Amino acid sequence: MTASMTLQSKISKTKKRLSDTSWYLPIIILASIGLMVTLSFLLRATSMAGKYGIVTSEIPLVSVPFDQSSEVGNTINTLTVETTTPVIVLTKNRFIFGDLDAFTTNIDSLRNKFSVSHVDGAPDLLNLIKDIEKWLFGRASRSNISSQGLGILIPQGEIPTPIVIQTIQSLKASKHFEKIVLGSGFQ
Amino acid sequence: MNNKQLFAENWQTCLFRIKDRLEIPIQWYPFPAMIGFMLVMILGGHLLTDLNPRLGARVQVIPLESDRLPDGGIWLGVYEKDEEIHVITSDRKKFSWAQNSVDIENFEPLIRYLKLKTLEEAESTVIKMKSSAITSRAVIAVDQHLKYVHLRPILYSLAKANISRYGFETRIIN
Repeated sequence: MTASMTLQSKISKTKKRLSDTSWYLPIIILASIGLMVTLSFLLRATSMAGKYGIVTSEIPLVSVPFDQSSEVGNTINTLTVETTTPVIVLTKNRFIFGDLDAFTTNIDSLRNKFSVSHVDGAPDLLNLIKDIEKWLFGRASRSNISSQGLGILIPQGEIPTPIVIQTIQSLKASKHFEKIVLGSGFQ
Repeated sequence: MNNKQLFAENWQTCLFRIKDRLEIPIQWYPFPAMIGFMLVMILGGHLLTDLNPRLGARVQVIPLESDRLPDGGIWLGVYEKDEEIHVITSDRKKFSWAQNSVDIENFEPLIRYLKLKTLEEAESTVIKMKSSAITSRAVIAVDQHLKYVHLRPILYSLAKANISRYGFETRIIN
């Protein structure tokens, strides 16, 4: 081996030593792991839901006669829409409440309906609940009409849905209403 | 230096260079395969657990403290876009009609879909010999910008599909 070849070999080995990139490998592995962890978090964040609740309502069913002796029939808990069922109408300016008879057969009478005006454009749910409670108690003591726990809410069309949902939630939270039926309007 | 020696020196130099080049390890070659494999694993792991049905539905539900929403049920997202009411379901089916539409024919596709879901639920009940009040209930996620008049067709569709129990989705914020 000539001196020049030995020198060239030494030069190439020095070059190789100086360009030693053995630390690239851990960096690349760590970066890949970091990328996978970040992607995993991002995907999970977009796919996992937050906490959600539900405000329930019902659509009334037409009752049909069924076999009273069967066990199934005895376990079904039903509420019936009657003329004494409370109705709450939500308009742009006020709540109007009364029983179903007051909005159907005796709609012309003014003495069987009560109103709670909105305060600064916002529904006054607290006073509505209080007035409904007084009304229910009053008619229970006068006419011996017990509250079934069923109410009908009829909002006007232009009422925003958040207000409708809040009203349903407040009525159910008042303990006087176990089920609320949403009505679409009067015909 | 004569030609023979020069020639020997040149090809030996080339040989050394080739040897050097071939001795450098290619460190990057396993990583594209590894990245691809890990991406497939992560995506598969997330997709297997099902995507959030609210993804892609531009529905901002009302923040309100209420009963916790259990999993299951017929989920419908309702929102407005370009003067049309859009309804999106948990299995990514979409229905839409004009905002002021009163033609019942426009709601027929949604009614058909709801009837199909109730039929599936009924079949499942028969096979399992067990019914669930939660899975047969409709959950309506209504965008805050909608008015009650936009909701009426949805309630009508539920009634036509013989779904009597439904609820409105709310967001619980701690």
